[in-house]
Amino acid sequence: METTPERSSSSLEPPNHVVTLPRDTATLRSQLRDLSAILALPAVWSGRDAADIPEAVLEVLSSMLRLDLAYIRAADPAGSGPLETARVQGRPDLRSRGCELAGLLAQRTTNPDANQVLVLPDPATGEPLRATRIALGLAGHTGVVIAASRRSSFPTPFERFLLQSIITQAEVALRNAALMTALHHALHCEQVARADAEAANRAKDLLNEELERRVVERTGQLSLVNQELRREVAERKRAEEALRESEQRFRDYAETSSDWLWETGPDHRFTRISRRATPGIGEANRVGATRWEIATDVEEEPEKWRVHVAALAAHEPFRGFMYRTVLVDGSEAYVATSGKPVFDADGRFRGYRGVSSDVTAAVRADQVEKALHQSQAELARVTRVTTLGELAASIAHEVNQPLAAIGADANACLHWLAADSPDLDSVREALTAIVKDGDRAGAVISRVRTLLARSPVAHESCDLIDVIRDVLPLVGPEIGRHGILLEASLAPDLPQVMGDRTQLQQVLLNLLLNAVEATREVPPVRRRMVVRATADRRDDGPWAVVAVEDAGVGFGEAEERRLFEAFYTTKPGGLGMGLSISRSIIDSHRGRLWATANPDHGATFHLALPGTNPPGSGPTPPR
Amino acid sequence: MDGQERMDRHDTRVVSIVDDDASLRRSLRNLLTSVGFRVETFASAEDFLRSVQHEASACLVLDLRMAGMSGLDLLRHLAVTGSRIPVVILTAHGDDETRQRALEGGAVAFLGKPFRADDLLGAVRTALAT
Repeated sequence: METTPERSSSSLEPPNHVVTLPRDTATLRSQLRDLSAILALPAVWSGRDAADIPEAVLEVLSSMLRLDLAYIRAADPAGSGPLETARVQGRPDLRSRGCELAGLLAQRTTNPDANQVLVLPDPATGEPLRATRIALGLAGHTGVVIAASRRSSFPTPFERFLLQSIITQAEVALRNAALMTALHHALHCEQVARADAEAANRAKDLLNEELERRVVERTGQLSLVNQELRREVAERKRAEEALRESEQRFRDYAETSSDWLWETGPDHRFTRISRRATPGIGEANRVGATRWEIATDVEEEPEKWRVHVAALAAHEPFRGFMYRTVLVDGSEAYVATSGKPVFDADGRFRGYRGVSSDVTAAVRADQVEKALHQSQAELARVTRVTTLGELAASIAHEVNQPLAAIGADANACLHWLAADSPDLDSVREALTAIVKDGDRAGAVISRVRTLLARSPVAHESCDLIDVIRDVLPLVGPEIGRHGILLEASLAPDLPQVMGDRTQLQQVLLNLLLNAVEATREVPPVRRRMVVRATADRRDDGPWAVVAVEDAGVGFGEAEERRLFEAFYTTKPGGLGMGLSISRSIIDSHRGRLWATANPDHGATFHLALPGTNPPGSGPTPPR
Repeated sequence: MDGQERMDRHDTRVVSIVDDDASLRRSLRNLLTSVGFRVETFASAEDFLRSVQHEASACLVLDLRMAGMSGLDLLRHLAVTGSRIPVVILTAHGDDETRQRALEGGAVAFLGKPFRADDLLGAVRTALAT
């Protein structure tokens, strides 16, 4: 395609820059309508984007000037590429072709004369179109408009005027659009800036809040640290005060206690001894001496000292080592001492540190207690002798019976042997009886001798059934003499007990004689006694329980409380020691002796002793 | 003694022994039979009284201390019932009071245990002679 610029021939047409008024009113009215419409264009285009305005301009140009081709190219006031479009009357599909043809014409005809008529082919038919070129230019906006029509009169002066007016309105509209765009852009920028500022403010506020929070937190931490420091300082002060008090307390203890603290060096010589409330004993004032140098029992008890010195040599701790020494006034004292070895940081033995106490009183008390036990044992023996004295008639009977039988049998033998034909079978039988009766008398004597013996208290396994059988022959005649019926009920599974057989015999003898005493004066129908031995299986093991029951005179409530008191007796001429001694004997056997009143008549005395199995348990006495 | 023993061997009268000690009953029986007496023994006063023999006894050798009826009780019972059996008391509790009470109760002899065999035989013979 080729465009052919055509110079508007002044010869052919009057200069078309002069607008002449039409002669008919209809045309004039039409032109006025067009002008009014042009005046309204800014309001119509107001608010449109700049990109939409070229199209709108072409539409107005095409319709108002009846153009076959309209073209516009304008620089985009927003700064992007130029806006270019074309409009081919009745052929929207040829928009690009229109653009191409008009664009070429626009490039070639830069700055043409205002009245110059250009020619370009119709995009649809290729027919020559009369075209005019109008430059766009306002405040830096550049562009070009091509308006073409096949009409030979195109453009008339009025069409030029309309064309120029529309272009001017377009320029204003583009300018307004550009301003609006700029304004929108500025507003957008302002909004963005405002948003940024708000975000910045919020960030600043958040930062401030965070800082404030951290400050508060840090302040709190500092406060806590401060409180902790103050507490630690106060705690340290209290600890120091407590330490001072503790030191003073232990100093006071050491100085006021009857015990004293000591230290020895590696050579076991005393290096330090605490002050005591009662100075003057043993280790006091003996710094520099060894323990065995101040002791007075080294020669008496060499084994004890050998073991102690060996423990010291082995650097072993010791506890409760007791020795004898002398006071400054020369009297004897007993010291109990405990110590532990002291080692330095390198593990080297530095000596001993320990505590000693004056146990003289305890040792003396122990000695007194031993003497007391001895006295009690002697008293028990004397009581036995007394009891046996009460039994003298019965014992005599028990011995005399077999002696009488022996005498009778022996005389019978003599008679038989003196006969002409001795009855040797009878002699043999009688001699056998003599031996038996001799044993019987000997057994009684043996029992009495046991009860009278001054033997040490034993601690051995005993069968209470045997103990009962030891005693019954001694007391049996006394029981029989008063016409008392004795029943014995002895359980075969009675557990063994630990104790002194003689003392247990004494207790049983005493209980049986008391029962005889209580029974002998009551009516014959009530003269009965029961000795009952039973095994009591308890949680803490088996117990042997022996009960002596009678239907005698019994005891009253007032007597019951005093039954076991020493020197309390209801018997004329009685010592009142029997039950007291019996109870102390049973107590020493870890058993229990008590009395109960029978529902009808008489009383029952019970003694309970722990069985030997299972060993090592600490049973509770049955009640 | 031999003459006396022979006399005893021909004596058919019964001597009763009441004692709760079996050994003594047996030995007394040996002693009395060894010299020819006929002997019956009883373990208690009640057994003696229940026996049909007791009326026929010519002499009673009696222990004092026994369960149940005592020797003194039996002695009193015999006296009350008009029995004329001579009684020789044998006891291991030969105190004066008991001796007195026994003799007052009609006993012809009172011997303490242990006794001499001749004393007992003499007392029995004396009792039989009364």
